[in-house]
Amino acid sequence: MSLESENNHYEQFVKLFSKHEPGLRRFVRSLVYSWDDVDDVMQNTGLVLWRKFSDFDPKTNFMSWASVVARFEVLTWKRDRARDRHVFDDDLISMLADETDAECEKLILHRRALDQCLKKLPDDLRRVVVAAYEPGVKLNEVAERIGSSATGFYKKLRRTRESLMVCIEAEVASQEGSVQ
Amino acid sequence: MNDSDFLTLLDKYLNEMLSKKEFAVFQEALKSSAERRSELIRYSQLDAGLMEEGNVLVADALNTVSAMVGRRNLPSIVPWLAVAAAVAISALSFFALTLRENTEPMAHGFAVLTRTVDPVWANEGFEVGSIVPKGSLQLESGSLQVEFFGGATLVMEGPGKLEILSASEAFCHSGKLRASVPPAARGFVIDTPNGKVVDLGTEFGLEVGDAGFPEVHVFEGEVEVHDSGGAVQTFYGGEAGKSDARFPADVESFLSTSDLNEEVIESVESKFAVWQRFSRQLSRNERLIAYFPMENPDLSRRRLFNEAPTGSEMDGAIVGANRVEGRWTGVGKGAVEFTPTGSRVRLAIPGEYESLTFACWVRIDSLDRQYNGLYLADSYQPGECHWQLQKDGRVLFSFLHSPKVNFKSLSPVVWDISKSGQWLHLAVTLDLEKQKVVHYANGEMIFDHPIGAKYRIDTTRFGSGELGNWGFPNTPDNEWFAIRNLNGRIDEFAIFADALDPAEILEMYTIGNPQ
Repeated sequence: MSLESENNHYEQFVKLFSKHEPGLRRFVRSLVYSWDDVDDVMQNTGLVLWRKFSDFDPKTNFMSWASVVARFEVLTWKRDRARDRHVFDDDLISMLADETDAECEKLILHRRALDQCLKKLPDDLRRVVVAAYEPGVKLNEVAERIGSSATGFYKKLRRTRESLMVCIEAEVASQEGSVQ
Repeated sequence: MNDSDFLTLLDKYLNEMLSKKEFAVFQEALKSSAERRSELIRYSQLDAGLMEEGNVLVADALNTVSAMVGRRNLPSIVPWLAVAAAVAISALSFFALTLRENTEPMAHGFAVLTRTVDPVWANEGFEVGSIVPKGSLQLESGSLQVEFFGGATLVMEGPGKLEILSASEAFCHSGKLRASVPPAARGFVIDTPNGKVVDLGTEFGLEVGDAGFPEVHVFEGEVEVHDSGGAVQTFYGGEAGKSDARFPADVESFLSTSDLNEEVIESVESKFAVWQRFSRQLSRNERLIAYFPMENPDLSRRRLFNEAPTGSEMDGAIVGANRVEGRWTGVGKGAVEFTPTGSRVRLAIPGEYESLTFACWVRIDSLDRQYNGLYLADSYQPGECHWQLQKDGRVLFSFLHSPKVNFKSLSPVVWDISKSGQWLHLAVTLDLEKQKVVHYANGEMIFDHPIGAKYRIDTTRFGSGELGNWGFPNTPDNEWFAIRNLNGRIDEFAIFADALDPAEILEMYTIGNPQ
């Protein structure tokens, strides 16, 4: 490959990978227990996608191709895990992966609705989101920082997620309604 | 299992708080019900969606991709990444805006402590530059100057006890004060155990002795003294009085703001001289890789002189940054300010090392960026380090173990907005013998972080890197760079090829502390 076409190849990969990385990460999140696990799997997945990128047919869907690789990477990664870790068994991982794939269009609507629902979230619950999902900070660290009121914080976090989910489903249902 | 039990497990799952047993029960529940799997999928996606919103992808996008593929192999992707970053920013901007609305930074207090001379605090003291909340300033000895947000300035001599009540009112329990009250602050009130002094725009002295009666000396303007019975006496410039007695005001017996300023300079000068001796001795230390005392950064030649035995080859190149006053007020010692976005000091350090120490004095005016640079290696290859402050006031020290394995060590919070403008001594050691990272703030060990076996490294490197910023446009066709400039100053920066022990860090702090 000439240097120029090699550069184009890199560019194309990075462009596609960056575009689909959040979707891929959401996919992997449905299959593994912790955010550290997600990071591990995503790192491997990124490397494998890059190595295999010359096999990818640009006329096809990058996300479907990538999610097959990611699913396989979850299974490979799982095999290296110690048995006592929190890891789903192969059957359950496959079921979840299939079902996530099948729902992927609806899940994209969910993701969009989340933006709308965050706007509507009351201030106190929004502060919970900000604290719990602060970049680079683990939830248990957040709770530690809060100290004695940690239990209350977890309760509020649960309430926040539940009310966001109610809002998302209503939002998606209303969109589906308007299409019909 | 009923739905409510399932939802409780699901919630714990998302918080990564399931016990082993609960995890097994949860797995069985999922396997037996498509509906519950669908619930898990939807909540996991919500969790991931919230994580996206909480994340600032810009800087991370650069890190992930360069760590993944190795930046040297990717000459032309970086400009593209800037576009990706812009897209990520627009996707995030809604959230960022809403965050700003709800989390506008707030500080609390009524006054600023602006000067101290040899303060011995009777209660918990404050650093110069601190915002002082409601409560007492209590000196055994020494003196201080406090400026109220309402505009009045008080100089207090120890021993004494002053309680701050609001932006324009204080209570003097005992001690000697001098108040300077410009017209804008007229109406400033000092209460005492026996009566209240109301200032009508002036300069006056006040002494409250053991009996709690105020002795007032008016140097200029007009002051009213209201006794506890409600009677009011008025004093004019040159007059003084206590209870019913009247006598001439004695200007000399009260320390003024300019007296205090002179005392501050004297005290700073003597401490500065001690530090200078220490610094010259330190610069002969063979363990130093680079040492920038910044006594006199050469702005015309844009150079920061390396005083370590390694010599001028390791001089820093000042780019965009300003030379400003350092932590020693009034002695003419410099520091470097990184406030303009492109500011940085470029360093090139060849060779391989083992353990390391970074130490510096830093004055943070605000933490505006997601990451705010202290020292960062440009390309972040294996063995290279990044030392920076997160927006949340924690210090992040990290090194790359291998292309996809990044070790991060996050200290407790060392800075918040109330510390804006104060000088802080920060240090971090990377001890490869003991395989641990230790963070220090103001000479104190604040976090001891063992390095997991997975991250073990035996060699460290620098290559090219910079102080005060990160993001280097590394090819001619790439003019985009990340922004990690520090909104503040760095005064004295040292890098050692060894992990200093806690006593050595404490010594650097103690001798280097101008207060």
